[in-house]
Amino acid sequence: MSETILSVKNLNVQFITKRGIIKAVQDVSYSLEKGEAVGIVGESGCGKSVSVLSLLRLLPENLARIKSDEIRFCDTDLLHIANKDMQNIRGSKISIIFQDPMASLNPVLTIGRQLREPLIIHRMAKAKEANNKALELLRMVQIPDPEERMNNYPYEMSGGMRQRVMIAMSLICNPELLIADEPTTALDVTVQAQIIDLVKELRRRLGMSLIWISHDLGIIAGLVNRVLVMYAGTIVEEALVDDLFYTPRHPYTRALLASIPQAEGQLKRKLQPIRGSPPDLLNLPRGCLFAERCNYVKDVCRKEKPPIRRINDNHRCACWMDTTTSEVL
Amino acid sequence: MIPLTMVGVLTIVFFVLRLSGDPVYLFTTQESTPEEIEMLREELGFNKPLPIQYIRYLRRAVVLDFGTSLRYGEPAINLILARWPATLQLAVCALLVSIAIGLPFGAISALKRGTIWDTICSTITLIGQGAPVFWIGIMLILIFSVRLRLLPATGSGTLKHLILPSITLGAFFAARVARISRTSILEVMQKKYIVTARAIGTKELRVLYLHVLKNAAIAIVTIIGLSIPSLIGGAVMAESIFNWPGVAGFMVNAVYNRDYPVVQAGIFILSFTVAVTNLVVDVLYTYLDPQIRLGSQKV
Repeated sequence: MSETILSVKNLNVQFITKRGIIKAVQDVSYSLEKGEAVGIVGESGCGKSVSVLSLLRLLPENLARIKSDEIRFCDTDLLHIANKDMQNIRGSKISIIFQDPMASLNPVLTIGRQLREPLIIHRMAKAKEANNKALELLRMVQIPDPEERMNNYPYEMSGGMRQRVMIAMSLICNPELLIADEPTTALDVTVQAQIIDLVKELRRRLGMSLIWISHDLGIIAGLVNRVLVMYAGTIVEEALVDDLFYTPRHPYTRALLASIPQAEGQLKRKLQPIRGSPPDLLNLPRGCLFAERCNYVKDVCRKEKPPIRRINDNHRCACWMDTTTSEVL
Repeated sequence: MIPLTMVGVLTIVFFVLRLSGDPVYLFTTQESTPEEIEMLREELGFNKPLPIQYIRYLRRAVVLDFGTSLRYGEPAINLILARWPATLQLAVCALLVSIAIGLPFGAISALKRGTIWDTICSTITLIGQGAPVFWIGIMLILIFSVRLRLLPATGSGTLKHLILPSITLGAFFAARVARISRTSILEVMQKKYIVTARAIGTKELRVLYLHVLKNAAIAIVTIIGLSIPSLIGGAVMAESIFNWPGVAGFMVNAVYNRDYPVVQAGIFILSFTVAVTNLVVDVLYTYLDPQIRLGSQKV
């Protein structure tokens, strides 16, 4: 039996703004087994990143209010540990790769300096040793001329290169959990594929657990074991990757799958967009948050929020309907 | 660039001073005869056409010969150079004071943005920015010299003498440093690489000095560099208030006396100081911003 590396129960994140309270994440629960790869999917602003960044207290403290029943990483209670202990976990046990490699590296420090930094901060190596480790990682992420690149500044590198550096930096302390927050969104398609292959390969070699956040189901498919689908700050469906693609339950998941453009196939069907737009997080509707855009909508959907129901051991869905039969459950 | 700047400065000074009236009359009395005046004019070289005077003046300027002070009868450049170290000393101390006060103030109001600390620091900065140099000087004299009798109000020589003038001149400048520090620190803190720094486990203090300040320094140094001329300008006032034996105060008197050679030599030296400072700032820039340093070699 595998052990649980991360467990989050009823996570709520709110942002206090001048216009009101934004409920960015509501009652999100998930867990991750050791060595497992989980994808979190949803459109922009659905709370994918927030639900993960909040675990590490990386959201602006004065704006974000985090409440949860439990956030547990291995044996550590992330919800209640001191900031100092949190700093020790960040970068060494849990690492993050961010969305925008062009802006995520410090422009006035060399690549080498930034790569060594996690090892130095966490006192895992002395300068010389850190340097060798940095070189090793640069080779691992397939950057040519690593010795020379160490003295480069970020502006001397392309986006794909910088993202490789970010990956190297996040892996340098051998983390147990790697969080990839849309790491390929800012990159062009070929580079995107290279980065995905790279992460897959590194994961196979190093065996860390992975949370991959994306708005693209297609990317997730080949990369993770399990997928969480988020909509307007809540988890609407959770399933093993194959189940999700072959037997999607939630109308939103179905709509997402239908809206993936297909290059091949005889049908030449039209792209099916999801009509409408997500609800205003400042002013959420009463019932199901997806009701306004849903093709299966019934009266109950507008009155009461659907609970998350278990379909089988690995499949959960938050909908009043059985979309396979179009009947209210 | 510096020689070009200096020629420009010399030219403007030369013509502007000529606009203020005939200097020969400074040396004559009401009883002087026209012949005497004419003789004096010839002796001093003011009888030649303006372009000739200009060329001669430029040629002499190259070897730092600005003529003899009309008032003191000594070479003007010697008079200025003798007083120059005092001004430099005052300016450097004022700059250090302004950074020592301004940077922490700016940093505190940026880091504690929106709190009472921000309000306090910003208010003091606003007062500092608005208060005239002479007022601050007089207030400091009133408090520390007259009431508390801790520090001398005038003169120079010891470290004690340096304190009040440096603070007076520095306070005015500190406000500017604080304001720009606050803005640029706030701007840098919004950057994604600051989140990256936190995400790899960097402690807050290290985030501040290694990531925030190093990037914010580029803007702060620019503003300090751009403000050097106004620092020298402020020195005029600080030197007058505290009777500081520097170039700036001395030149003010030279202007009143229409002592051309001294004014020219003084402006030359001060402009030169400003130009060299700007060069230093540019060099400092390349040190702070790698993109400027390597920009020309690579790509």
